[in-house]
Amino acid sequence: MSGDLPQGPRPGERHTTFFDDPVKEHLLRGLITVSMELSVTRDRVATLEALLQDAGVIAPGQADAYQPAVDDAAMRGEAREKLIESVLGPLMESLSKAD
Amino acid sequence: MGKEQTIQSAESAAAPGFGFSPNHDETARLAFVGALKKFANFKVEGRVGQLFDEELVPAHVAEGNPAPQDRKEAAALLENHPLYQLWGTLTFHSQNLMWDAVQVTTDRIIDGQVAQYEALTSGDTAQGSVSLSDELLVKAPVATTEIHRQPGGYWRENRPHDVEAALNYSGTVELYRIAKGMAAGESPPADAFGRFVSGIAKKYAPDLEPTAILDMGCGTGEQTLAYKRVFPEAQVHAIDMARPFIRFAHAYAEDAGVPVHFAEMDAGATTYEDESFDLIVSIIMFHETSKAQALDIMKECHRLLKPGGLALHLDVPYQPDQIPLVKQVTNNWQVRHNGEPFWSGFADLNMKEVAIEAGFDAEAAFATYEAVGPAAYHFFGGRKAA
Repeated sequence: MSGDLPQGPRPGERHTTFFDDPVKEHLLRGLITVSMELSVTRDRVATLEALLQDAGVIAPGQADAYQPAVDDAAMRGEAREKLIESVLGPLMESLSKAD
Repeated sequence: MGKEQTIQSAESAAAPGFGFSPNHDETARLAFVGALKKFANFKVEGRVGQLFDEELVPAHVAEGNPAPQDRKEAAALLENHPLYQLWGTLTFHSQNLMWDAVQVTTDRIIDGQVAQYEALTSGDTAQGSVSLSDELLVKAPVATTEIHRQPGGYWRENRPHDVEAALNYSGTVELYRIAKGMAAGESPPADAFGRFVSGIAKKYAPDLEPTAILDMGCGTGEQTLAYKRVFPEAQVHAIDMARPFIRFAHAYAEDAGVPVHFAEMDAGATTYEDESFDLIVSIIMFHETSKAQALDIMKECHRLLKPGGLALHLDVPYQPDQIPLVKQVTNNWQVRHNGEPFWSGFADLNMKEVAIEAGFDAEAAFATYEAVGPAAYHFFGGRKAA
């Protein structure tokens, strides 16, 4: 039966650009999308903190005052540097080959 | 967030009713897209208007040119400016993000929604009814265009008894309400527009006590419920060309416990008998039709109305004499790039003249504006001679 289902109209264009430079425009859109996910994550963290406080697991301000243990801090540092490398590394390599 | 709210939302998440029900992160994503649309629609579009009035037009005139008189001349001044291009890309990308965001929720809940619809139509507990037609031919632009750039348009079906297109659409409704600033102050009820139209019907025809009401282009059916709630003695019928929406509307109405009779039908060529209704309404349907269909639909309203009955339609207030040139330019951009093929065409129509051409007496036909909160809407139609 699924082969006979109505297909809908012809799919519209999803990647039209309006700036003179489409590369910059797609970078801007990527930045907006990342901002959206950051906003979602902030909401999630705020919810988790509220739930933990409601349940008496943590006290107000406890997350702000938290100091990670040495091993934990090292793991976070590695992850941070890996993220920066993955975002900016290819750009650096590309530009270093340019004349 | 307090503990009581937490427990309440956990319970409602465990047993959701019929309809779009985003979880925590999906809600946060929709809220972001709503905020982004608000920024593009108000802040950026406002700055574009300021740029046009305070810089582009004065500079153009200072060079010895006449000031732009219509949207084409205004567009020529705006189209190459980077701020206008920024507005365009934000409007376009926010639309992509919106459809992507609602699709996540739909993919998660669609099987359960279809199952709810199937359970409803296989039993005998329904108070209203649903009627589908294999004979119906969906017409352009709905047939040919993804209206609002909704992937798959209004009528694609991905599975038997599908409601996906309507579920996605309903997910955008609240978001749009926020983005367009309609929710300023207290959040209105889901059927606020239907209640608004009902109030205008009472204002225009205070002596009319409708016994049979038809809602044309009912979509998800949220607004249709208002007519039954405001006129509980009336039998309420509602039609739409898109099958996923008619299914969704039926399930939504039954879930709300409001009896409505839904049918898959073309508003310009219904199968109801002459003089079947004393109130015929629609909400933002006409701007998704065409010039020919607008006349056909108005003729059908005249045929279907009982003597003394009222046809009352609400649509966008974007007639050229109502909005500044810049808004005409951005609206015409929506025609070209954002799945609103008849937006400018509808705005250029004189709907009072269309009503008269359709058979309504000149003194009983109307095209006017009515305000609700900070917004105003275009109302048009006519009252059939008693």
